[in-house]
Amino acid sequence: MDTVIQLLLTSLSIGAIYGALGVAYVVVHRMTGMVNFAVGDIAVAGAFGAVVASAVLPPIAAIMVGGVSAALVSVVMYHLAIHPLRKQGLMVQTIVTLGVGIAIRSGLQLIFGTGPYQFAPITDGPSVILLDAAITRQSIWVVVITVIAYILLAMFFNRTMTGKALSACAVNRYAAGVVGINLTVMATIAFALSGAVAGVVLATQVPSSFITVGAGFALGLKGFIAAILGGFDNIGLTLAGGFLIAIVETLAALTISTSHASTILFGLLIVLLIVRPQGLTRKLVTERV
Amino acid sequence: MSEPRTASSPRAPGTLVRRGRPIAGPVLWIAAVVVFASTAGSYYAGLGATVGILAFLALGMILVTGYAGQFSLAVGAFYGIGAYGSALLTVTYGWPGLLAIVASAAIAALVAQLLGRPLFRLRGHFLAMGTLALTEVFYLLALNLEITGAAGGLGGIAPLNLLGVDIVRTDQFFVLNWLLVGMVLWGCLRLSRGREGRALKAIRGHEAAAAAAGINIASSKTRIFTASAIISSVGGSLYAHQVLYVNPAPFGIETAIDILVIAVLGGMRSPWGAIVGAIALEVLNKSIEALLPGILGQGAVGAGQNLILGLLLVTILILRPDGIAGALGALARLVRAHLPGTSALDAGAPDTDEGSVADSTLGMAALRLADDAMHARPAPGAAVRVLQAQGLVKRFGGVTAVDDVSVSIRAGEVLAVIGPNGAGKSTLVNLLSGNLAPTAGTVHIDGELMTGKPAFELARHGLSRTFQTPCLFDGMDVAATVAVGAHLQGQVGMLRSALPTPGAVREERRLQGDVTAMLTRLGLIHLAARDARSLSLGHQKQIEIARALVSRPKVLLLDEPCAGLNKAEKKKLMLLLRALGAEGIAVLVIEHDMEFVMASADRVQVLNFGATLRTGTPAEVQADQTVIDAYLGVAPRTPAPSAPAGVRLTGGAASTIREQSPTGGDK
Repeated sequence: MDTVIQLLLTSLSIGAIYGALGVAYVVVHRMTGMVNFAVGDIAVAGAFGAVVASAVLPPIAAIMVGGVSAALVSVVMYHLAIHPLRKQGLMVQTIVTLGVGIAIRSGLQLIFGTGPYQFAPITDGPSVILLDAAITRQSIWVVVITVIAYILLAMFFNRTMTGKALSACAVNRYAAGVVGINLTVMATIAFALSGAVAGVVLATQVPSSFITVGAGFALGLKGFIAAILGGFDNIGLTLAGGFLIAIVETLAALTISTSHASTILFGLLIVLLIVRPQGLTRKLVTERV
Repeated sequence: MSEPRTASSPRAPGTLVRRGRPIAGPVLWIAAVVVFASTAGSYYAGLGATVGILAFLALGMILVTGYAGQFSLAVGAFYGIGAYGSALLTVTYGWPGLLAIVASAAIAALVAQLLGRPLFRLRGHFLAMGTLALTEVFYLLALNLEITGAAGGLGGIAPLNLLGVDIVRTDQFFVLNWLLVGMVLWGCLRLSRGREGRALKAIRGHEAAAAAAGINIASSKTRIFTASAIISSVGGSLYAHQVLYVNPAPFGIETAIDILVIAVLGGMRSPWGAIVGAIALEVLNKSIEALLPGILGQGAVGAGQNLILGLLLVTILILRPDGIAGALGALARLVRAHLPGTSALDAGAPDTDEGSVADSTLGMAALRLADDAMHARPAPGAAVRVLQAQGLVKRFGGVTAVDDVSVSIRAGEVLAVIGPNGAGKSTLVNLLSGNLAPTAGTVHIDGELMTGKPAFELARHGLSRTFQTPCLFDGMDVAATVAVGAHLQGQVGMLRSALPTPGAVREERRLQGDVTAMLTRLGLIHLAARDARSLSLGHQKQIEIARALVSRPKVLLLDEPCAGLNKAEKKKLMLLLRALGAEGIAVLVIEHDMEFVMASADRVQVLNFGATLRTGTPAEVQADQTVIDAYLGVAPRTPAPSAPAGVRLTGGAASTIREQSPTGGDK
C-alpha cells in the first residue's frame, strides 16, 4: 500500500511535466494541424531561462521568467521558421520544427555545456509526508502550477473571445479566416501559450531534480505520448495521459529496470499509434483536406 | 555520369516514350567510380566510401519522403537492423556474409510491413513520431541488451567476401558502395518515370485524386516504406563489414537526422539529391571541423556542428525547399531555355486548335441534333444499368447534405445532375465514387454492392471521376498526370517499375500510347510536356477528364467540367460527352451551364435541398414549374413578411413536390 501511494505521488509531478508538454503539442496542433517537434527543447530553453533569472530573482519569479522565455522562443520560432513556410505542406513545416529543435538544443549546449543545473526551491523545508509517502515541496508546486495553467487555459479557450477564435481556427481555418480572424495573430498566440505552459512547468521542476540541455528530446517524446492519449485535442485528457505515462514509467523502473523504462515507454508509443491512435478520446482526429 | 536527359530534345509529335542512350549513364558512372577509387588514395577513398553509405541511406529516405511525401525517421532503426543483423549472424552464428545481409534486410522489411500498414492509415506526422520512436527504441535496445554487446558493441566481424575476393581496402569499399549507390539511383530514376513512381507522386500530390485513379494508397506507401527499409538495412550491413565493429551510437536519432539533412540539402524531389546532399554535407562537416575550433574553441565542435545542421535544415527549407539538386535543375532549365532552337517544343504548338466544331456558329442544341442524327443509339430501355444508387443519405453533424437520393445510369446514357448551390450535388458524386461513406443507402456497380468500399476499389470496378476544383499533382507534367489515370491499365509492380524487364518496357510503351491517344483526342497533345498545375483552369479541367478517360471507365462522373471553359470548348466537351455515351460509357455530369446541360444530357435529375426534385428528359425538366421555382424562387402565396422569402418558400415548394412525385423516379 505504501509503495502504491509513493508510486502515485512520484508519478504525479513527473506526469504533470509530461502532461504539460503534451498540452504544448495540443495547443499548437489544434490551431495549425502541425506537430511541433521542438516542444521538448523549447521547454528546456524555458528551464534555462529560469536558471539564469534565479541568479537575481526569487525562485517563483525566476520560474515565471522561464515561462516567458520559452514562450518567446516559441513565438520567434514560429515567425522565423514556420510562418515563411505556411504555403508549404504540413510535412515541410514538421521537418522544420525538427531543425529548430536541434538548433535550440545545440545553441544551449554552446552556452551552458552539458552539465546539470539547479536553483533553489520556492519553499524550503523537508518533504511532506502524505499517507506514509513522501513528496518534495517543489513537486507539490509542480502539480499546483500545472493545475493553475490548466484552469487558465480552459478559461481562455471557453470564456474569452480570443480563445473561441482560436478554437474556431482549430475547427476550420479557412472559415475562421473568412470571418475576419487573423490567422497569423492566432498562431502567434497558440505558439506563445504552448511555449509558456511547457516552459513554466519544466522550470518549476528544476529545483527538485536538475536540468541538462539534452533533456528535451526524451521529454518531447513522452509529452507526445500524452498528447496522443489526449487525442491531440483534449487538454484535460492530455494531462491525465501524462499522469498515466508517468505511472507506467515509474512502475517499469521499479519492477523491470531503469534502463528499460524509456524503451518500454517508446515501445508503448508505437503500440498506441497502431492500436489506439485516438488515445483516451473516442474520435480519431482525421486529416483536414 | 548524368542520366541522359531527353525530355528537352525535340521529339516527333505524338511520341511520349522517352528514348535515350540507356547505356551511357551507367557506363559513365562506373568509369567515374573506378577512376576515383584508383587515383584518390586510401584516405579519400575511405572518406568517399563513408559518404557512399550515407548517400545510400538518403536514397532510401527520398523514396519515402520525397516520392511518396511521407515523413519517416525510421532510417536509424533499419540501418541498425542491417548492421547488427550482419554482425550477429556472421559472428555469433557463423552465417556467410551475403546470407546475413539478405536475412537482415528481410527482418527490416518485416518490421516495415508491420509498422507501415497501421501507421499509414493515420495523418502524416504520426508516422514521423512513430518512426522516431522506432529509431530510439532500437538505439535503447542495442544499448541495454546483452545480445548486442550493450554499450561495448560487437567486434570481430569478418570482411565481406564477394566472389572469392575479400573486400578489405578502402578503394574496394569505395567501388562497392558507389556501384550500389549507382544501381539504386538508377532504379529510383526509372521508378520515378514508371507506373508505381507516378502512383507515389500522385499520392504525394493529392490523395483523393490518386485514390480515384485506382491507386491503393496504404499499399503503395507500405511497399515503398518497405523498399526503403531494405535499402537502409543493406547500408547497415555494408557499414558492419567495412568498419568491422558495431556499437549503438551510429544508429540513433542523430544518424536519422543526418540523413534527413542530406536529403533536404540535396533536394527531396530527385534521387540525385541524395548524392549531391551527401557530398555537400561531408564537405560542410570537414570545413566546420577545420574552422570552428579557431572560433569557438575545441570543445565546441560537436555542439557547433549540430547548431549549423539545425540552422541549415531550417534555412534550406525556407530558401530552397527543393535543395541543391532542385536549384541545379532550375539553373539547367534556365540555360536550356536561352539556348537557341530548343524552346520550340513548348512554344511551337498552338494553344488552342480551333476545329470546325468550335468555329461553327451553330448553337449547342442544334449541334446536339446534328450529332444525334449521325449516331444510331440503342433504345434507352435496352441498355444495362451500370451504376445504381438507392436511398443515399449523408449527414455532416446536424446538416443533411444528401437526403434519400436514388440515382441510376444506364450504359451509353448521359445523366446530368443539376440543382442550386448547396443542393448536395458534389456530395452525391463523392458518395457515388467512394470518396465519402454514406450515412445510409447503397451503391451498386454492375449489380455488385460497393457501399463503404474505398475509392480505389470503385475505380477498379470501372468508375472514374473528375473533381470540382481540379486535383492535379504537384511537379508532374501533363503526360505523366494523365498516365496516372492509366494506373489500372498496367500491372507492373514496384520492383519492375525500377528494372527494365521487357514486359515492363512493353507495358509502359502501351500506357504511353494510350495517354498520347487520349491527349490527341482531347486536343491537349501540345501541352504534354507542360507542368500540369501551371495551366489555365479550363485546361486543368480537361486534363482531369483525360486522366479519368484513359482508365477506360464504365462509369464517368464529371463534377462541373465546364468551369473555366469558353463557349467553343464547351461545345467540344458537349460533343465529347455525346460521343462517350455512344461508346457505351455511363456518364454523370454535374453542371450549372444550362445550355450545356440541356444539349448534352439524355436525362436530367434535379436536386434541391439534398433531395431529388424531378427527373426527366431535358425538355420535361425545362418545362417543369417546380424546377423553375427551385431555381428562381416563387412569389409568396401566403405573405410572411418577417421570413427570408427565398429560402423558406423554395423549401416549401420542394417538400410539396416530393409528395407528388416520389424521389428517384426513373423514367
